Amino acid sequence: MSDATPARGLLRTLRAILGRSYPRIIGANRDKSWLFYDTVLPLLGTIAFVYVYKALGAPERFVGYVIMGGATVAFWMNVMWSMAAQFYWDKQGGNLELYMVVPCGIPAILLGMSFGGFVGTVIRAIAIVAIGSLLFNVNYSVSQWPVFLLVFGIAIVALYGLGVTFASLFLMWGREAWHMANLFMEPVFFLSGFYFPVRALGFWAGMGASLIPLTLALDAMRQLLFPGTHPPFLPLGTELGILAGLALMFIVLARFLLKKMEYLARREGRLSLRF
Amino acid sequence: MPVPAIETKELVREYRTKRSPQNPSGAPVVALDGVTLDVPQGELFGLLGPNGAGKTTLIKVLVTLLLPTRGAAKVLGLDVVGQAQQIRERISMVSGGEHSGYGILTVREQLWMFSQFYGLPSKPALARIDELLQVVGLFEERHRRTSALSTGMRQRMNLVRGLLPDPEVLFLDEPTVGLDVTAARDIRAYIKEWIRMKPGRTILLTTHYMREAEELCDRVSIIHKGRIIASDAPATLKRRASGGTYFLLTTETLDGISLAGLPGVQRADTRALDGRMELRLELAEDGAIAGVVKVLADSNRRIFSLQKVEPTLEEVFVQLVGQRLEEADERKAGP
Amino acid sequence: MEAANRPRLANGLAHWWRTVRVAYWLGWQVESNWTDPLLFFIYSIARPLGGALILVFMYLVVSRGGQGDLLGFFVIGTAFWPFVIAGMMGMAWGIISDREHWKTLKYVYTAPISYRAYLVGRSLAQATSATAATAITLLFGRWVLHIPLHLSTMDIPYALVSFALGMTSIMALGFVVVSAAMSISGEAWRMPEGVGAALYLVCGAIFPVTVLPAVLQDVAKAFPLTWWLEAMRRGLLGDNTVRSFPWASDARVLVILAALTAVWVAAGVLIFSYAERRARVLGILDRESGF
Repeated sequence: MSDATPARGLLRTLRAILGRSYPRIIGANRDKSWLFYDTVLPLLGTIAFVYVYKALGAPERFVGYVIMGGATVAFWMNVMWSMAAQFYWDKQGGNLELYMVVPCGIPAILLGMSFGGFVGTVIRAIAIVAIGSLLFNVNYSVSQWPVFLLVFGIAIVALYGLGVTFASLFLMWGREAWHMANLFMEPVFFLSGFYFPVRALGFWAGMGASLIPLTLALDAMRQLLFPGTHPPFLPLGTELGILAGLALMFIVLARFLLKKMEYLARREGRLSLRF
Repeated sequence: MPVPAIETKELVREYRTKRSPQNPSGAPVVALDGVTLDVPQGELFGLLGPNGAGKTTLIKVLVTLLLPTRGAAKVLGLDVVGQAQQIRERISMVSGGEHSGYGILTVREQLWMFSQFYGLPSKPALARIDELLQVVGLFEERHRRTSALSTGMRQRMNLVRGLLPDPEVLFLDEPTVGLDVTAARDIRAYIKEWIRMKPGRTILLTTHYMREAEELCDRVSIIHKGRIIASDAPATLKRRASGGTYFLLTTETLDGISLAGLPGVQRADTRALDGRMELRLELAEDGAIAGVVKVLADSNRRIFSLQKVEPTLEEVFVQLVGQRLEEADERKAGP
Repeated sequence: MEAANRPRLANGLAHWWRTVRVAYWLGWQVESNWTDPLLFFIYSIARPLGGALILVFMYLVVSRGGQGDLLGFFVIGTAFWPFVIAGMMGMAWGIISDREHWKTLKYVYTAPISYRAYLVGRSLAQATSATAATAITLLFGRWVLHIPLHLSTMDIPYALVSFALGMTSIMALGFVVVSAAMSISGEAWRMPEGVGAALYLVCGAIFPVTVLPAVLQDVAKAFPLTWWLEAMRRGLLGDNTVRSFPWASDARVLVILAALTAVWVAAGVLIFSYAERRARVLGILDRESGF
């Protein structure tokens, strides 16, 4: 008999994160269908919108908008389907009960899911941008790479914080979780300006849409990729500041909601219901 | 005095419901109705009852999945409401009929993932996984994807998952449901061995297989409609069954031969069966059967079969609940 | 006994129709099984409008009022595309969800019914759920975006015939997709989405196919959906729309649509028969992937 002593605290959390991210990462290696479904599919949708702009006779940079939008779709879909709705699938499959009684706690499991999902999604996003840019000959001129990476990094933290927040909500919404995830597709693509500058929505609509971290992240990155030609919604510094605030807010909200939802689920007994 | 492994006091769990034709008043469903239990450490404790009796609900309260509505529950002296995190570090749960797991992972990977949730270092965890897989006969399948496992293999894997963190209290919720005879027998054998291997290990096992409870448990509680209606060692419970032991004897037609008046025969019931006569004999003591056999032999009546029937937990259940376990299940399922 | 005395064809049709009806009822139960009608309502409006508004704003940002005919083009394509997804995916979902989630495939398949009829029924139920999205998008287009959608200028018989042919071609495509779903496990549940995305690109849903490279234009012409959307635009908007096939008259569009529909129906039936037989030979008809 081996004498492994279980760790506690941070070490256990780190092990749990690694453990939970493992199926996500290894899944990409084992089941190569993601190459088609998570890369080619979003690319097809992206290409369709490129042709819309071509039919409208739009300037070239709009094609760049669409390609970035397509890459962003990959992140959004990962957050909605693999984060927010994941607990619904886990509930259906019987895993959620087990997660609720392990000592590492649900936050560590969610972080593991986030990390595993992010690793896979960033590869998909790069593939979409690379292929799309090659196909349609789009040129970018990024002069401030550190700022670009900073925007991206903070946006990812905020986005996955939002994903964890949704995971708690979806846990309680139960069978509607699948429909909720579907509901947050086209409306979010529209409001966040995936395919057009969000400035076109007007100030107040844009500010409302900014609750979704992708809105300001996309606008900020477009300002950096198409300097001088892209009509910004807000100044870059302001957008970065708001993103940082959103990141903090979603982390705090996620933690609070998770505790509350876990308590409610234990009280209502809906945690382990199959349907 | 060591703390009890499991302790509940007037435990109540209700579920809120909406009004429906079956429940026009919208009254809450009472799954546990004042359950009081005390399971000392080191015991293999069984909870027996039909579907919907409250067995799974009780387990879910004890493993901190559900909050009680009223009353108290403690595991290893820790409160299930306020000290859930500490409880989770010392317990483990295995449910029967589980399809949990990620099909894309192998058996070993799946178990390793769960070991990480308990904070176990990888190398010793993998060694322990291999050990346990050997014990349950799954070592050869360790690199097979979990989606390719049969039901029996999956349940063995689930058992390993439950044993991996070396819990002080192991909750087994119908662990052999849906398994074939061999797989079920293997799991029961390992359960018995596991609890003996280390002092202080406790198991709470729920089942609706009477035989399983009789074979495995030190003590059994019978639960029906959310209430504990009997609680004792299986042998003691069986002795409570009125009627006790009896003999079943098949012979030729009696044609007026009376057995009721024979010394030691307390009761003799007869019924015709396929051209023969079946006798149900309740005797004051086992030796009285010899007198019965002699009378039949002297009357040139052939004896086709003779067996001693001891009361089962099922009979105890029937007497306490008023119906068989299957009937209780059917009634619960509805028309 | 009375049914047994009827001509076999009449019996067969009656049985077929009953299967379609029951499958439709089942599909509708599954599709509309929401606990909150309000959520269902929001879902029925928000998604189609979200899709339409993306295109509207793309149009506004670039054209600032010019190229008005393209707006009508977008609206009709966006309005009717849900039928493609729901009808085609509905059929594939019928088999995938029965196999993986409800685990009823083997019971339905071995029942004395026409499995094709069952799939058609499930597909029609899903397609019905698209009706709300279509209506809302058309109303939005007419009253908010002021596209030229007037009863006085519509060719209603033309539109109705086009619609019927279009739905038939969607069923035919659905059988092709289902055939693939029968043969693969794992990501089978995402495959209808994949086919939908590819068709969205080549069928002139949201832009005239004349914008595509020549080789893709030829691919587009081979699908009845391309001609269906073209016919719906002509039937509903008349001359007030951009055309994918400016060289073709309205009658010609309809004839080509009918011919292609017939071809794809035949292809769908053949491919499905082959896939079904292959699945039975390999024993993979009710194989669960556990995904």
